[in-house]
Amino acid sequence: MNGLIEITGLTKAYDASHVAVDDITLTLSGGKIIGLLGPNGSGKTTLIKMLNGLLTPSRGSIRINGQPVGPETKAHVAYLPDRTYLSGNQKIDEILDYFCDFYADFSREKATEMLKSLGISPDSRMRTLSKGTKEKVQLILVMSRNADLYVLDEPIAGVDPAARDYILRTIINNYNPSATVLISTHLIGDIEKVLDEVVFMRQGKLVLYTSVDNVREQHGKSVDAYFREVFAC
Amino acid sequence: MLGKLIKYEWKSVCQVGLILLGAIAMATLMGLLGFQAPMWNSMRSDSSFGAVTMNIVGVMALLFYVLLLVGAVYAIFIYIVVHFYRSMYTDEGYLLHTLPVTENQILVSKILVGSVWIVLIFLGVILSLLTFFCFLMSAVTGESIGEVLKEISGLKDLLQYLFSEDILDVGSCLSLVLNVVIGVPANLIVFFGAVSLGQLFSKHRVLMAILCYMGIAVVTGILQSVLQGIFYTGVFGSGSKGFLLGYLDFSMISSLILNVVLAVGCYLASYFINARKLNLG
Repeated sequence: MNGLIEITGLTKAYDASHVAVDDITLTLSGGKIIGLLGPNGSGKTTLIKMLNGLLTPSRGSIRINGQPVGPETKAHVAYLPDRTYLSGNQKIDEILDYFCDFYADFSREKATEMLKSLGISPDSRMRTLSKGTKEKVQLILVMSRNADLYVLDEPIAGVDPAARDYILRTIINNYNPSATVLISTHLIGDIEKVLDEVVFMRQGKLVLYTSVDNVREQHGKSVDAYFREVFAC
Repeated sequence: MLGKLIKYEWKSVCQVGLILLGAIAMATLMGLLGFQAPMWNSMRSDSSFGAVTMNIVGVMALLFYVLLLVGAVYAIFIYIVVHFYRSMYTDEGYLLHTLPVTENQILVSKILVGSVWIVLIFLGVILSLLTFFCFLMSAVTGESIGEVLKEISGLKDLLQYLFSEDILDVGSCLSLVLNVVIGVPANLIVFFGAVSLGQLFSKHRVLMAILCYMGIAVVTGILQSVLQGIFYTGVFGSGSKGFLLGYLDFSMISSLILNVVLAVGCYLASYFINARKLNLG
């Protein structure tokens, strides 16, 4: 099957005793919202970084839309890292210019509209914003793109429940419906309702890749409850 | 995309670059104000410099001026290298490395913009020194600035004389110009290469980058010494030029070749590390 993301034998070892991602083979199709789930240290962020070319795999390969990770795939992948990566000196307006210049699929109008709805001034400098607002700005930048793949690393971690609702609403209302959204989190209860499929990871290995409906039908449980069962300490 | 990268790189370095140019201008102004100090008048009235009563404010102004000029050159180098490190290998690298651009485009944009700013700062320093020199001559001799400038234009005759007597030749001048033109980006590429090599280590990457730079500097120093040794053994008996001029020519050419080889090596290392070994923490 040809998928949007084709991962073959992917391994990332920092050293002999620390294998973050261990021989994963996986094909993810387009048009789905997929939860990348696993406890802390299961290799979710490492996998995501390799999808975005920020980490070099030790072995194996990744193809997105049939292309190896590179400038061609980056033009079609919108990535939200798990940290603030924008320089504190930059004004939001300048960041919008930057995204307009580099990403052909970026909609300035959409971004401005979302900023306005949150009462964030485009003249603000990043360093003057609270942590939560910075995260919202970064999410707005990502969701204002008409990408083929959205990769969101822990988008709802560390924010209050109201902000979580806003973030999830923003994702659902703004993503390109023909695209795939890959959301990494361990806060499953909050996002379960929006997921089509789930990928479970543990200690760098792929444990499960199936649809949410399958989990409910086969195990008679919610994804959250099944996750707790699989990853019980 | 290269043009866009250059545009944003220019914007990000511009602020610090302009501040440094402003600082050079301010230092020049302060240095010139130093010439209003009474000691310069006493220099003209006394027959010997030893009898001059040194004015502490004037001396401090001159010292401050020199320190600021030297500081500006170091500051732009340090800023550009730190900026390279931050934008490539810290959290800010998440933005740069997820852009739909190639590693070559990223490196070229940083080398071009960095080099232009270093050259601008150098030009600022040279202009400042020339201005300072003119005012110094005027203060010491009591001549007007116009007269001092006229005397400086007389240097043209000196250059013509040096060329006509084969003391200077076009080849020497060309290698000097090439050294300056290639030396600036080459040095920058070596710094960038050292920063990139530091990223190959899993811990203490900044420290490792500094050690890599020191290692490169030591190896370059050894190579330069070896080349100079070759020159010493080869120069005696050849004698088409004087020893000193021959030595200068050889030094310039050997340093040019070393700079180019080193820059190509460090560029390839940076490219390889970014394309094949990138591991953003």
